[in-house]
Parts: sequence; C-alpha cells; structure tokens
Amino acid sequence: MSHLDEGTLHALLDGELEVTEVKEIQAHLGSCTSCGSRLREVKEFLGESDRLVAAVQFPGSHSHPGAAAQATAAPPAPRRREINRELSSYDGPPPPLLLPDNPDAGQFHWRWLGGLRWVALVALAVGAGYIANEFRRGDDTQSALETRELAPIASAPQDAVVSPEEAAQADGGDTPRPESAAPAREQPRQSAGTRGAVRPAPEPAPPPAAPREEPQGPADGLEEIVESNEAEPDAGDDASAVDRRRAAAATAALDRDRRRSQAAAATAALDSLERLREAQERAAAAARSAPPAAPAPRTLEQRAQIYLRIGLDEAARQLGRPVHVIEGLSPLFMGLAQGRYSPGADDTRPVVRVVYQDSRGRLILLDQQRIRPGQTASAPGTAEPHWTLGEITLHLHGEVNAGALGSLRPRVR
Amino acid sequence: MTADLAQLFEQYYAPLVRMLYRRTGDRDRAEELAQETFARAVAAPPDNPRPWLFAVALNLVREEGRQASTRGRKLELLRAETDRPTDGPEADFQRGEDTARIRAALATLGERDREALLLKAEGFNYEEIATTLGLARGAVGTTLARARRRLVEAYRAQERGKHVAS
Repeated sequence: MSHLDEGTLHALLDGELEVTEVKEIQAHLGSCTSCGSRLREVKEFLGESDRLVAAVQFPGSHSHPGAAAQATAAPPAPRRREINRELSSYDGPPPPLLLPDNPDAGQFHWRWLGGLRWVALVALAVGAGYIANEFRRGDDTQSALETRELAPIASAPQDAVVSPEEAAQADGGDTPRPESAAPAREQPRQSAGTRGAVRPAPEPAPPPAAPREEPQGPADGLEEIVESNEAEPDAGDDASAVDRRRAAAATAALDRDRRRSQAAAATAALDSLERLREAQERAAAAARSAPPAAPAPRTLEQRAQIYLRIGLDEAARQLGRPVHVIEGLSPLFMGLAQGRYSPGADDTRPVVRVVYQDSRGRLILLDQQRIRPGQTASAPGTAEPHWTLGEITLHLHGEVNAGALGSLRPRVR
Repeated sequence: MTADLAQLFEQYYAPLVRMLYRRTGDRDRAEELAQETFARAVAAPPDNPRPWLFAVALNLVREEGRQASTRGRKLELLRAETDRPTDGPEADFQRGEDTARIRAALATLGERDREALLLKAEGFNYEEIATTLGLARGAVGTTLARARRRLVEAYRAQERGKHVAS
C-alpha cells in the first residue's frame, strides 16, 4: 500500500471511511512510521482548525479564542462549556420569520409606484371609455336631430320652411297633441322654428297634422324612434305612418325573440351550474370515502428526531468523554436531539443520540447525556433500558421492543 | 408557513445564523441572510432541506460579497464586534483581537475551502458537504485538509507577527 494522502487521513479522523478502508489504513499505519507521523500532524491541524472556527462566536460570549487556539491540549470541560454557551445563545425559540421577505428593500417604493402605475392605467382606460361614450351619445343625438329635421325637409319642404308666425302658432297649443309625445316633440319643433325664423318663407305651410293613435306595444328601445316619428310635423301621412308601425312591430318582435334567447341561455347556464355543483359534491363524497393518502416518507433524521448531525469529536466534546456505542453494530450517524424527546434526560439540554438500524429497517437509538454537578438522575418509568455509567446517563430505545433493547444493553461500550 | 417549514425554521435557524456569522462577521447581516434563506424556502420548498438551506445561504453571502465590493463594505469581514462587553475592557479587547485574527485567517482561504470548513463545523458529513457545495464526495477530504492546514498556518503567521510587533 502506498503512503496515505492528507485527504484520506482527514477522512479517517472525521469518521468518513468504510470499515474495510479503516482496517487497511490501520494495518498500513502499523508498519509505516512516515504515515504515522503525518497522522499525528494532521490530527493537530484538525483539532486546532476546529477550535479556531468554533472560537468565532457571537458577540458577548465568554470564550477566548486565543486561549483555545494556543492550548492544543486544552481541558475538555471549559471547551464544552464554550460550545454549550454558544449553542444556548440560540436555544430559545427563533425569531419570527418575516414573510414575504424582501431581498431588495430599497426597491420597496418602486413596487408602490408600479402598483400606482396600474391604477393610473385603469383609471385612464375608464376615463377614455367614458369620454368615447359621451362622444358617441353626442353623435347619436346630433344624428337623431338631423334625421328628425332633414326627413321632413326631404319629404315635405313646405313643412320645414315655416314663418316665425306659423312656428309660434304651432307652439301655441291650438292644435291638440298626445300628452305622451309632448316632451319629445318640443325640441324638434323649436329647432324647426329656429330654422324657419332665419329662412324666408316662400309659401304658407299647411295646417299641422291631426292627432293620431299611439302605436301599440313598441319595445323599450324603440320608443324614442317611434316617438320621434310621431313627433314629425308631417306625421299625418297615412302610408308612412303605417310603414312605421309595421317596422316598429317587427322590431319589437325581434326584441322579444332576443330576450327569449337570452332567457334560454341563462336557464341553460343555471342548469350547467347545477350539474357542476352536483359533480363537485360527487367528487367530495368520493374523496371522503377514499382511503387517506399515504404520508410522505420521513427522513432518517426526522424518524430519529435529530436536529443536528454531529461527528465523533463533537459528541466527545458534548459528553466530556468518548461516546458510548453498541458493540457489533455500525451506527448510521449520530447527532443532537432535544432532551424532551429522551425519557429520563434533562429536557433543558440536548442529548447525544447514536442511531442504529436493524436488518428490518427499525431504528435503535442510544441516548447519552452528561449529568451536571448536583443533578440527580431520574428514572424514566419505562421498560426501556436506562442506566448510568460514570457521569453519563444512557437510555436505549427505538422502534424495536423492550426485550430486544434489553439484549443490546450488555453490548454498550 | 406550513408546519414542515416551521419545523425547518426551528431546527435550522440557529445553525444557519451561526454559520453565516462565522462567514460574514456581522451578526445582524447573518440573521437577515438566514431570514432571506427561509423566505426562499417558502417560495420553493426544498426536498433535501439541510444542504439546500446552507447552499442558498452561502450563495446569498457570495452574492452580497459581490455587491458589497462595489459599496465598500469589505471591511465588514474583518470587523471585530465588541459590543456587549462582559469580561472587562482588557479581556474584550483581547478577544476582539483574536477573533479578528481568526477572521483574517479565514479570509485568506479560498471560497470553497472556507465554506467546506464552516459546514464541517456545523456537523455536516462529507456527503452533505459535497451536495451543498457541488463537489465530488472524494474531493471533500482533500478540500478540508487544505482548508484546515491553511487556516492554522495563516493564524500562526499572524500570531508570530503579533509577537514580533509587540
């Protein structure tokens, strides 16, 4: 076997090599003094660098990084206290997570301006629509006025060209008019009168048309047109009046058809909504009757309730001595678990938990916690093995039964 | 925030802040970056949260470092925080000096080496370090070996310089 490279030695000390690799390396180290001395050097670098990194603590803590760095053979207890202090500085509940967090706090007002921009766009669109509608209505009114004025001129020019006296006579009310048509007639008559006032009257106008009956049953949208037709000064023409009534009746019939089709569409929509609601109810009933979905697979850390994985060195620092293991079993990993999840442990401090897995995939957990001076070990009151070795309380539990755990206890070293 | 995310927050907030503080030397910034990391986890919940959270946090630090270089905030890295004195002014001064030397030694490392070292200090195994930093697992041992050696040598060099100066 060739000489060991530095990366392999670090992996060895970090506990990252397989058992077979470790055996090979141990065999080589037993016969190679050069690699043995390099291993000692690597161990020194590793220990010192770990201490240096750990010495960068939150402000206000009591550690002394220089002392920690200089003392290669520093006593374990003060070092452990430093780490405990460091960890305990965040033992309390973490601060609330501020959501949604803002990676660019300086751009906050830009987002506000972006929102205002949208509001301004909407307001502009509404305003433009309103103005366009006003223009269109104005055009409609103008065209209606022109239609009302030009039609009599085209059909009977003698009606439009009236003298002011005739206009005044027409407005005077000598001629009876239907009450419902009076307001609509007022404007065109005034307009015609104004035009007549500025134009010469070549010949006298005939007397106003006699009152006639209202067309029956015009649609709402047609009332204005019908009224305007009625308001024409020459509405006495029987033929055109009959044509207008027929047109109005035909349009009203079309309007009724349109309303019927709208009502049918609305009824169909109601039916489809009803069908949709029934489908949703059927789906909900099926979901209720279906078996619950299988939960998402949990990770080994979650199953073992470990919140932080640690290595052998950190475990030894936590306990003040090398970690206890079960002889003959290979640990999956080790880490820190909250004390309240370990029966009989001090629930204010974490426990070191070594995690094993049996051939059926069940987890076996070996919890270890150092007893503080003055602390009395308490029995958990369970059938699981719980005992004390020196300053360490141990608790063996997991997903196997207490009998199997009891058989493992003598193998804990 | 879902229950899973709340659990993640409770479980990983403290290690994240600790690692970020060691990386940036600025506690407030470390807490902000940790918050930002979890906010991103809310937006895109990760499958493998631990390497994901630390990778995102380290990316944020790198991104901030690039922005800070244009804002002249580089000195933050070497700034020794000595607010909240506890052991008297002399001890605080000594501690601040030592911490500044360690940070300066950390700053001499390459980006990857420094991050691997900080993740190892948080209990990451080689597999997780490889996943977080996008390295091959076989390269982690070499990376850590180089990082540890350079850190110790840089710190010792500063110690020697301090003794010569005094």
